[in-house]
Amino acid sequence: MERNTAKLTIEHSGKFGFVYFENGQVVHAEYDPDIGEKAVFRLLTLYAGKFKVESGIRAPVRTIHTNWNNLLLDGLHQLDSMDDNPERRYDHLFERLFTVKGVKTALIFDKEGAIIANSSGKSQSEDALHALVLNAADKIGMLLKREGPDYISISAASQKYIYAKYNQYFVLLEMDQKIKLDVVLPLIKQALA
Amino acid sequence: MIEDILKDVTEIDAVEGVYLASNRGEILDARGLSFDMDALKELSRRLLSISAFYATLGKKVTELEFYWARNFITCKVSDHFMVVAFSHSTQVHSLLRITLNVTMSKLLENKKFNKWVKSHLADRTYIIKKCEWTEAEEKLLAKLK
Repeated sequence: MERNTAKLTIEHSGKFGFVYFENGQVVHAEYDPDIGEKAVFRLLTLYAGKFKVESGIRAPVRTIHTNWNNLLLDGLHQLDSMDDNPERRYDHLFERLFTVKGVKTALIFDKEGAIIANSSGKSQSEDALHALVLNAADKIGMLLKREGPDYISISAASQKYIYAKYNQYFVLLEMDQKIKLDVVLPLIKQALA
Repeated sequence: MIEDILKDVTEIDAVEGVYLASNRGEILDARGLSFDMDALKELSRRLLSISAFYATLGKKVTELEFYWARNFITCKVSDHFMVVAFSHSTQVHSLLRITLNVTMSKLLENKKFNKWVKSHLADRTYIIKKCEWTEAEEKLLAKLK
């Protein structure tokens, strides 16, 4: 925007995207597997991430010829229409959950463990684990003459895994092990409300 | 004495009871709880099964907590045993966690306890064989492996 030449690096859930500016205009973008305008539109959909700007770095190739203002408007228009996309239905929920300190990834799944939505976009192979945990928790509740617990917290492999009820589904949050549960549980509850 | 070690936990206000179990689901000691032994063993098997599920995926569980509106259960899990505490107030949660950590350390230093643990050795996935599973759970267990 200030006629700069720079490279913007965006990191989200371990994946990197790059946007190259020359003289203030976007000339190239990459966000695997996309390049060019499609990569820009996908980067605009990210609701959390880390940013780094490196001045003076030129793009390896020019893949974008659209004026930045028009590109941004197009991208925002696409974002608006994405709200009707069932796959993006939970983006606002993920946005709220990521405001809770320590949340690394969020997953929504049903009682059988089938994944409904995944904040990281990575494929998940642990659906059987989540269903088994919920079944065990329900049985624990029955032994105590209660329903299944409202929240389950599991510390394992230097992470904390929080299971919470969410309407007819369940949310699993992967969090930093050092987080204080007493502090974050009310925030998680608020985010899920 | 092991009884004195668990007493520290029950002396916390709002803690209803505590018990100690091996990774085979055998109960060594229980204080302040109204469950019968069979119910306690079944509860242990279900708690340990969660640790076993994670162990199948190479993740070692060290703590389990379950929250209801007015009750919660905190379990500290080690390679060979677990300590489980029941409480009806989240206000004592931090103190309870610290006390349970100290309890675990004291148990590991206790000769009588270590002798008992050695006779109940089992890997973390052992309990999966001991639980009764529904057909649906059997299918999920097969997927887990």
